[in-house]
Amino acid sequence: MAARSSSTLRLFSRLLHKTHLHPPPPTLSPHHHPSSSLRHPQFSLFSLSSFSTAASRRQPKKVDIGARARQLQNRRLWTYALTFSGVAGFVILVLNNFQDQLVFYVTPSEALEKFNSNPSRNKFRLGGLVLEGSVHQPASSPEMEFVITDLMTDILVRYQGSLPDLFREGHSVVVEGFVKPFTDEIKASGTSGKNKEVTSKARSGECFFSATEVLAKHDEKYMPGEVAAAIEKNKKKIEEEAEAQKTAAA
Amino acid sequence: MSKTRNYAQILIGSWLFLTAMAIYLSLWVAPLDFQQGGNSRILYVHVPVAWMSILVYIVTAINTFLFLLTKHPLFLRSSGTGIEMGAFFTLFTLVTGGFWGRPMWGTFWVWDARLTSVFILLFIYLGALCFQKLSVELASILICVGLIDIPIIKFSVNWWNTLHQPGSISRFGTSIHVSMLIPILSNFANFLFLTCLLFVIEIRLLILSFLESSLTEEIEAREGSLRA
Repeated sequence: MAARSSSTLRLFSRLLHKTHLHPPPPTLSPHHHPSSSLRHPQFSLFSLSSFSTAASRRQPKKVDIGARARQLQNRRLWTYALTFSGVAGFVILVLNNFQDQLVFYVTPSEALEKFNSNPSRNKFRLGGLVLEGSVHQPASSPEMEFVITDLMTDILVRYQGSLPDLFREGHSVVVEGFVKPFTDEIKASGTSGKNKEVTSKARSGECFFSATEVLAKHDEKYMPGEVAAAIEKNKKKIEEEAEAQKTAAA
Repeated sequence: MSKTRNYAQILIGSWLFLTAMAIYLSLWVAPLDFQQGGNSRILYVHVPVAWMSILVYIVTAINTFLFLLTKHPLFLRSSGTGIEMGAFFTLFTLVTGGFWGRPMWGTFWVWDARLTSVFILLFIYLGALCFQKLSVELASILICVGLIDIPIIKFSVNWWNTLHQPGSISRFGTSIHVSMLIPILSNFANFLFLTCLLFVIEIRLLILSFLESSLTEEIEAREGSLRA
């Protein structure tokens, strides 16, 4: 539609142009001045001055092309600057508002908090460290078990399937799945000595995590910033609590 | 003309040398990573290509902005070249990243903030490629508006928790060992050199076409008729 209207406009302007620049030759000498068309009002379609009674001949205004170009450039600069800053502001607002949805995973503490406040939404992506010495295959089921921790909360994960190369004890993983309440069988499936000790904190809770997918998070020479920050924060919290207890005891 | 051929020989020769050096460094010299094994070699291509996709985008955005201001054909042509190369680099980033992620993370693709923002970058490039055929102004505006995506890509790993690892190289130093940093940098130099070479060729073609354009002929014809 727009294209059509613009093409008709162009056609129209070309017609006008033609009538302006090429008036019929018979009455004109070959070296006529362009403003001589003023003397032939039937060909100049818009100039109202041709109808005015004052017979003053207007001098064609000299246009400073450079100034006009700079003016146009300035106008474009302002338009684009305003548009872009508007769009940028909009995007920043959207990102700030949807901060929660942009998070790829939550820590076990946050997940349990969310699950306790609304038990119908039990699908989560958990991120944390695999507790050392917790990976274990119970004889009673094909699923394997390990414990994920953010140093505050431990949660037992059960998963059946192949693990990625970078899955190691003491390294961070992201698991996707559902928080479910413990059944007695699963609670009791912990076995011998050391493993039982390591996983006892996770088994003392009310829920375990049934994973559908396990992704390893890569951190070869460094802790991932977010988990490290979360763990640091929790470490500080634990220390503070320990100190508070000490002072309370003293 | 012979001078040009000499320059071309020197440039292409040095590019071939850079490529050979980069391949040699990343396949034979660099040590195996202690966790990833041979898979870390994918990163020697993935990281430089990802840098290039960002760098080319910034250059292209500057070009398109200057085009919108001045409407000069040189800016238009160089931004078009940038869009094509940037789309290629971004696609290459996503593909190599997927092939690295499959054995390491356990998945080709996840919708975390970093991967999604790079995916959006690819779509901005492809959209600009398509819009160029409709209207170059529209494509240029899309590229300029899409510049917002660049800081989001850069800082997504710091702002939100993602599966993608945070940047290893920052102002405060690197967490990549020097022996593994050298192949990354040599690959980066290689891609940078290739990109500059292609830019020069494209712009040179355009300048040459000015000399032979119908516009020049028209102007000359008009001046000739005036003189006559």
